[in-house]
Amino acid sequence: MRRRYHLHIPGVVYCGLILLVGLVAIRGQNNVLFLVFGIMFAALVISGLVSGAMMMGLRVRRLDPAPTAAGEPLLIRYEVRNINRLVPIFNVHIEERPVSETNGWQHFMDLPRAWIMHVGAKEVVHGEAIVQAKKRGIVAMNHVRVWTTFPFGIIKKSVTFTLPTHVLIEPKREPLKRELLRSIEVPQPVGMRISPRAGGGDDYFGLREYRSNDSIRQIAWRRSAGLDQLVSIERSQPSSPRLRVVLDLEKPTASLRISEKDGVTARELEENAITLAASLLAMADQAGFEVGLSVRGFDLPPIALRRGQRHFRRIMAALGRIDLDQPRQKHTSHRGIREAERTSIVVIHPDRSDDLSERSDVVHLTGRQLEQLRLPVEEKRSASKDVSTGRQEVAA
Amino acid sequence: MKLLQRFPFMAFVLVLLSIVALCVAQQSVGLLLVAGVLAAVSWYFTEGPRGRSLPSWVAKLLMLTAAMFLALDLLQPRPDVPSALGQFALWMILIKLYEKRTARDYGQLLALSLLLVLIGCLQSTDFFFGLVLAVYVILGIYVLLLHQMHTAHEEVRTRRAIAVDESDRLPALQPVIGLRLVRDFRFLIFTISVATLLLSGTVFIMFPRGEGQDDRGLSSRFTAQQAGFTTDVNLVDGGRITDSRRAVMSVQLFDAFDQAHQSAEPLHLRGATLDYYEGDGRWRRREAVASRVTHRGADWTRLDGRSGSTEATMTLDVRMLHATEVLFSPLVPTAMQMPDLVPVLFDRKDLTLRLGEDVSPISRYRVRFDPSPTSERLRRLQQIRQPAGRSAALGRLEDAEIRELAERLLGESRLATSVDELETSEQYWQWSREAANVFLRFLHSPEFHYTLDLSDVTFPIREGTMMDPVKYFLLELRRGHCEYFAAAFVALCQNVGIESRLVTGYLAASYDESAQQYTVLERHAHAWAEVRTNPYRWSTFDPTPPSFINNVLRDEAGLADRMRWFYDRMDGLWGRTVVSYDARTQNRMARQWDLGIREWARDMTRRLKLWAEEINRMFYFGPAGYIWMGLIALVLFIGILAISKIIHRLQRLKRAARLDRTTLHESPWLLQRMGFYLDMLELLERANLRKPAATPPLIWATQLRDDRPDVAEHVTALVRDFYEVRYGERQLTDDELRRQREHMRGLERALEKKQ
Repeated sequence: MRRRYHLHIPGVVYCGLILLVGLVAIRGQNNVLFLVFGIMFAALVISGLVSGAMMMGLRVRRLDPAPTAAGEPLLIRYEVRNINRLVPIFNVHIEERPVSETNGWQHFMDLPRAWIMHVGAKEVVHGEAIVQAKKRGIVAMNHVRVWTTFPFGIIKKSVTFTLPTHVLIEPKREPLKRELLRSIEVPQPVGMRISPRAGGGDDYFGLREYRSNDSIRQIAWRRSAGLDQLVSIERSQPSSPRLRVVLDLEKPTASLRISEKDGVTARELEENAITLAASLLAMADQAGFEVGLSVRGFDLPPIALRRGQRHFRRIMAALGRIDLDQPRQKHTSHRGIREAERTSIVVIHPDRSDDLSERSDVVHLTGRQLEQLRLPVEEKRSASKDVSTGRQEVAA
Repeated sequence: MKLLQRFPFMAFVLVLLSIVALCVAQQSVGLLLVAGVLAAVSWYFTEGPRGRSLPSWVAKLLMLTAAMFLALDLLQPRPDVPSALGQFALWMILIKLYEKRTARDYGQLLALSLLLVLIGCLQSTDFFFGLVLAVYVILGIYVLLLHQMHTAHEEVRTRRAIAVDESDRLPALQPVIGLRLVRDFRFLIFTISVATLLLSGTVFIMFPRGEGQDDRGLSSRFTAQQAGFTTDVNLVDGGRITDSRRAVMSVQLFDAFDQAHQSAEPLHLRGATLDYYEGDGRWRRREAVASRVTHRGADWTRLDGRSGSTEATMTLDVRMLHATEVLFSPLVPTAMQMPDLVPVLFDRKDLTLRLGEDVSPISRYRVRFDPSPTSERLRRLQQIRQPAGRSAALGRLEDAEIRELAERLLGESRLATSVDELETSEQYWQWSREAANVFLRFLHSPEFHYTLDLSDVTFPIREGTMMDPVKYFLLELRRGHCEYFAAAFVALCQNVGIESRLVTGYLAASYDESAQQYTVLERHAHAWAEVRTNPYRWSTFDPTPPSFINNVLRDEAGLADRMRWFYDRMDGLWGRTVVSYDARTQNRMARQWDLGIREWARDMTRRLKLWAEEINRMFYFGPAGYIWMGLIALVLFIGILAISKIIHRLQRLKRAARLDRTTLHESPWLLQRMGFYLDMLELLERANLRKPAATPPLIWATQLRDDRPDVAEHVTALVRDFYEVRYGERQLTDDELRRQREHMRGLERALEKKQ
């Protein structure tokens, strides 16, 4: 914890004004000006004392921020505690100090700043800073500075706390064209879609004892007559469509084929590929797909096909953690695609497609295609409106 | 939220107040009307139902015009810079009031309002301006505090709007303002206001002052404001007699037992005696050598030059509204008391008091007086060795017609008409008293009328010279104010050889029962006469008709009068304490404080000595008792220090071991055995290895392994011991304690090595 008084412009101007008033008062022996000089000087001293007393009892803790996606607001919460017995705290700003590491927050977002209007004596208050994350990655945060210019804005006093933490910023998720999912979904025989579990589908799964509330249509009358007790027909559970995204980052950034005409850098193409993968997975997850992810070029185990929020977060975290500065692994033990897996496969390359030749039904996309696949602005608005309406309905 | 919503209006009020301050300072009603109305209308214009604002280009054009006018003003041959700057700042404020206001604009408005007030300070020292200034300061503190929060709120709201997309579901920033916040805010404002007041007062008092050129000006200015009183009288040009109800002073009268007292007769407070008639209605004081009496601090100083306590007499406590150089007192002053060492000139012949030449005026003093002094006391006071005979003819008003009138009056009363008819001095003094009473009755007769309206009076010219005003009053006019009556009385006396003089001062007759004091107004300024009725004694004769006295006695103060008096009192206080504060007052205060502190220190030492003696006697310590007492005091002091240190350590240990919620009685043994843990934390803190409060000890010890493996080894072992004691509630064995000590030593060595 480090305390400091800062020199800032209003303070300097104010001090200059005090000096001027003092000089004029001395020159003219004007007692009213002497009085004003006294008031201004008292305000300066009291400003320092009040802000000092306030900051003396201030303690701050950063609550671990929840991961968010690039382009989305990141909410950083701070717990501010006032251990003073008498003195309340007013008007404090909390902001992060730049981190010297390459993954310092300043490379990922604007300055996060929270504001707290009041913390009573012996009270604890939570404040929040909201910033927009610009890109994905693991963001390092270290020092938090709490400052105030209260009460008169003349003296700036700050206290710096060391609170190291890391925040995961997931890749940006762009809304993609709806046809994309339909085009990549592999047509499968009807039987292939039946799950080996009982559920609410149409296909026959088996028989079971009648339970109250079973529909009369579910009763297997003939079998019931034979057994002399009511027996219900159980239907199979339909299997969700499946999608595995394979992100091909095997080629080092420097080896990517780009030209000046492209107007993008190799690293941007790689980031586009990651964004496309995240966007596709998000769209598929929303559409009810079971999704999985494999990343080539890094020693990341493939993520199995599943559904659910937790699984989705895991995939996004994996994409967010990819450090493109790390050396690529040329010969990974698995290629990310298993022949036996009954799933649609999309391979996303940064620059151009590279035939994998494991399966013939693989769809290849590139980072360059992100712009083409992105939903136009008008549709994007209606999509977001649909999404928000849908969420409101769910909430209702 | 209401607190922040209040800011725009309060800021507007502050700006209005600064405009009023400037107009008051410039004493310009026209400017106040124009600027005040324009400023007031701006609120409706910008914050009203339509909420319009001046287009930016129009505002800029107006500002440019104002700047051009300022330049023109400054280019004049002898420019009045403060006025020009004040008016420029005023127009800038008015333009800004009509503009759209952001948080930054509010800051600019507040800065401009401060500038207006500062310019006002250059132009005025009036009490009313001071009053506006005081309100401005208090309101300014409130508005500045609100401005800080308002600006921060606006800034954070803007940042949030940028960070959060409009489609996002995050709610807008709405700070919750509860009762506690409002209470805390009020508490803070009160504290800051009081602290600002005290500190600014201290700076004002202690800031070094020079012997400024304004010192004399300010002093004389306030002396001149004592309307109604001067040290000379001019019946022809006299326009100083006033009917003003403005307060001049308040006077408290105490009897010999120091009880507040109301005199049965009005008090004649003497300011000056005028014993020289220059002719044409002009009276002045003959030059006389006054004795210099130096006042000795807070004690009473006897005027007869003797030391020792004064006899029990009446006491007069005078508080002037404006500082004075003339000390008003009734007959016969015997002693005086003032808050400082002030040299006073005491005219033994006239029995009047005034301050020395180089002394700054004072506003409060006390005088003891004897209403019926013995001849011996009078002799001592006046330091007369030979009784006075008849006075010299120099400066007498002698006129044949007046003498004829006087002799006729005496003859009608069957008194001797000339001094020559008297054989002994006793007969002379007896005759003087009786003759004065005859003249008094004559002037009190219905033939004479009291009036202040003499606008129609023109003194007749006879044989090329103006008829003497006193003679004209006595023989023809027979109406006038107190000065005419007093002058006529003195003229009658002097023309038959009676020694008399004119006296000017105030008549204290309006007694306030609730405050137990007389309030003296400007209209109570008065003139009367004194006649020598004894070799040492002068007696007061007030020839003004009783109707004047009755008028004074009938003074009933209404609410407006009381408010006016209060305002005057404050005005006087402002003048005395702020405007006329100078290096001399500063030195006087410093001396007073110095004396006070010395007095206090002496008193404390004496009490301490007495107390020590008493204790010594009580415990029979004997001659070496003081050494014993010193030793006991030292032991007590060390004991208190040790106890406070132990308590502090226990509290720290409780916090470190998370035993905050248990009482000391529940866990005394725990605290006894966990001292090593606190020592370890202190050692590490000194080496800049502070344990974060939220991190459990063992995790922290693990974290230390990366940076300081040498330290972490000992810390881990000590933390394990701590866990055993704190959570395992186990007493460590001797071996474990030995190991613990070794680890502690190891930790010390490791930290020293690193340093």
